[in-house]
Amino acid sequence: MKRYQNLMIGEALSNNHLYPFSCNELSSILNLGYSRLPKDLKAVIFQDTLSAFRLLPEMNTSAAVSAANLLLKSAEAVLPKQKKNLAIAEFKKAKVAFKRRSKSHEEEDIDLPSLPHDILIHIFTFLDVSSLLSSSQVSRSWNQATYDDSLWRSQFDLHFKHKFLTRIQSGIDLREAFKKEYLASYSSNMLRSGRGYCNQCESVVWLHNLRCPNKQCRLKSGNKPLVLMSSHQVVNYLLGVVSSSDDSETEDEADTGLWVFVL
Amino acid sequence: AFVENIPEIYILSLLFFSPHFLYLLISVSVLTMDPIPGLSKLTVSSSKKIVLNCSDGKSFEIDEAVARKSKLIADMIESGCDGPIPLQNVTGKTLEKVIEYCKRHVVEFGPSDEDDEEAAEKLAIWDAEFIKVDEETIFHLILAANYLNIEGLLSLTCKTVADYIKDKTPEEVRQIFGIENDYTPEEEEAVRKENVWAFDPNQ
Repeated sequence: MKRYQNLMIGEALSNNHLYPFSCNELSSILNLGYSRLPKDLKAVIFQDTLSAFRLLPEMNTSAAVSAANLLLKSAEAVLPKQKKNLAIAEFKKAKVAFKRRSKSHEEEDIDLPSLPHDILIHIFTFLDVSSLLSSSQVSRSWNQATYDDSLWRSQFDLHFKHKFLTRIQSGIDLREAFKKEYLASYSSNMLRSGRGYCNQCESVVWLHNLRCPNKQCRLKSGNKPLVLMSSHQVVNYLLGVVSSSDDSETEDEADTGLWVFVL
Repeated sequence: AFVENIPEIYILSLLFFSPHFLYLLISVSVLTMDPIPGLSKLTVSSSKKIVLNCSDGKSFEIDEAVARKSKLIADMIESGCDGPIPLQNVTGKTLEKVIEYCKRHVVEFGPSDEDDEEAAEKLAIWDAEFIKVDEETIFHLILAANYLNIEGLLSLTCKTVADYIKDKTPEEVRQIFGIENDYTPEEEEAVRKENVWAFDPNQ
């Protein structure tokens, strides 16, 4: 129970950015471990699932909707009859409210000034990689802004602090270089969960710019990037299970760290 | 002999000045007791006023310290500009908001660390409330902060807009900002394919 509270899934649900991640985590927990959990924990997880649906209308991304859909499927598959029906009812209510909200939003006609190039770049410095790349699809001028070197230099710093950029000669597209490094370092599983493990404070945390949200930890570890966790590993943490090495998609580095997760 | 006389002179001058000294002591303590930290600093420093004229004719008179939050204005003051400063790129409504920000941010933090953290937290809460405005206002604030070169305001507004963009699909972003899609469907598909490496293949 304590480990579940440490995960802080409930709090993350009200965060616009973390909502899809926490829904996915709830889905994983339901799919992989629900039956093995003690009764009181099952009740809490059920409550969190309901709040996830209740909060859906306040989220305004399609990612939130698909995460909620996934959560519903897990709930339908795993929960006993009574709880399942409650969850479905809550979800239906949420969808209606969501549709109502998005309709009222569409009626507003906004006439916004277009932003100059360097301001766009400044805005992009606050974005994560996937949002950055989505932005390049918005329009031609936005696409141009996403190719700015300074953006990718800081992304390099964030993700791969220990690797040096010196071997990258000037004139090479930094965005392409980042992509190569990214594909080489991360398996598809890893960033999907939005979770990291901080060796310093020994806790599973939501990734905030790939660093521990605890300021003290950041200072002590010299601002090192966190070890990424897959959803599978998070569920194992919750269940207190040691992951076997037939978790085919985890990297070697992550495997050695797994032994620490058993508390 | 001169050295021996000093103590007496010291005591005498102290007695002579003491009423003034007491008065100064009281007024300083009254000022330092007030709730807004750093206000005492403001009232003691020069209260030279700067006049700003915005594009739709309105004038705003503010303290020099507040005006100096804008690097553009600070530079103008340094280079000797004395009279009213014309700001053709900023409307009255936007300038009012900008001035509100500058006034709140001109008070700097206290000397000790505990004061810093608490003051920083309060400031952050104030900022969060301040920036709860519609998108049009935020855009105008960004442009104004850029033109006037106000670092804190620019970062605050840009971060807010970035939060709007985060996790949204390109179409959703276009809808929010009223941006026209100048890609052809083929180009857009090509760009999307280029970027698929960063996305979750399941979503």
